[in-house]
Amino acid sequence: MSFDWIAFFEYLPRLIRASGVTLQVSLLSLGLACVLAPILALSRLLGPTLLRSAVQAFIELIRGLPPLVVIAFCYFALPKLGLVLSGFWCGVLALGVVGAVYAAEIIRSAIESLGKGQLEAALALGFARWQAVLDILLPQALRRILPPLTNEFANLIKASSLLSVISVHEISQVGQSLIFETFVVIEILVQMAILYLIIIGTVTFISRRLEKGLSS
Amino acid sequence: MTLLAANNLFKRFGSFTALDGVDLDLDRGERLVICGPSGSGKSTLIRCINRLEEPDSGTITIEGLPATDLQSLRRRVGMVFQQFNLFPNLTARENVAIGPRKLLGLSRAEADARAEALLDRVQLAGHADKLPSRLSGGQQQRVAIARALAMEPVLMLFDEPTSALDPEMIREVLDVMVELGEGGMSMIVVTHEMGFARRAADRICFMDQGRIVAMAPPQQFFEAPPHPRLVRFLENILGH
Repeated sequence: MSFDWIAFFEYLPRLIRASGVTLQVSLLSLGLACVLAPILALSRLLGPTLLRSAVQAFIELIRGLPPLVVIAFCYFALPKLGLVLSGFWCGVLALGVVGAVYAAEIIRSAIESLGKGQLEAALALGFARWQAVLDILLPQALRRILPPLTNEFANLIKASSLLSVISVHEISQVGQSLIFETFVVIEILVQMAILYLIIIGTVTFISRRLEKGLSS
Repeated sequence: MTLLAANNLFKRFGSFTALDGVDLDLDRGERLVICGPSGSGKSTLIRCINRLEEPDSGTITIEGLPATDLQSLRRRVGMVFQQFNLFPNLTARENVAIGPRKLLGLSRAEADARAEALLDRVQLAGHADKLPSRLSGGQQQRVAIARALAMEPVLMLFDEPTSALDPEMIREVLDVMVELGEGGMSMIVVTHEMGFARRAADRICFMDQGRIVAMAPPQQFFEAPPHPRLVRFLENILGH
């Protein structure tokens, strides 16, 4: 089998454009996850009992579903509830919520892993519970949060390939349709792999730098 | 003049009774040592005083006021833990300054100045910039004492402050505590350091099975122990 370089370069521009969409969906859903996750984690740690149970139930629900089901729900069911979103924004919402739920659990378990002594020391000084969590525990938990969070964000980028089912023109969707149009398989798959690796590699690199900044 | 009055405290953990009707009074400036076998309720008692544990029943008043506002109660009552519980991401200075800065509204400069004066007082003047991981256990515990003092408490609670320390570091912590007591600080100290109790306590209290079994000034406590259970306890910890 020979590698067809001409086909490789012929289809590359379309996939590069598609990787722009992958990047946009990923960054927007990542942004949404970053806003939602601390809210979920803190309401689970600090909220009144009712809110705490509701948030926990929501987290367990989303974690129990394959991301594909969440995406399909956003695309097909939300319009019936009166919320009509384009495929792109459905993808951002679905991936953002899925990412937020996993990230929330990472934040919560990192804070809880600090042990009772840290919380008690802050309470004994006169910190209110929420202040203790925000001022004392969260800064300490940050270093434990970042590595697993990077992992989660890489997963989020990979999960954006699922948006091909709701016709978002990201890498996987464009790659698949190119393959069906042209029957050039290997060359296009290699391009898809390289583009994903570049995007995920960049995220990982940035997060490593952040980790180093935090630990020094 | 009474600083602390605890009446008829009960606390159960499941089927275990940690406090079984405890009454305790403390005068301003008084230094009380609490000892007793493990599981006798001594830690639970002082943790109830600053409400890290909520007693099932009974009343506690400090300076005549019942504790309605937990945060303001805890600001007036300092606590030192067996495991130090310093904040590992903060330097010694920041550990001491963070309370006054976040809770008492001091500026960074004011809080740092207060922290440095206190670190000086616990003989750690040169260690302000070190993280807890670079301090010995004895040094960490002295930072923890400074951290509690930074809130200018009216009462200091010590929960087995030297139990996690190597023997040669116990002295430096106890010396700081003795000096604190001599300076007029009201203190309740849970400890098995009977030398400290003899040297620094106004009264010593012996607890067993959730009750205060004996309470006496040091001389009487050691020379004429007022309870047979206490006689056995003293034989066990002093006898070897």
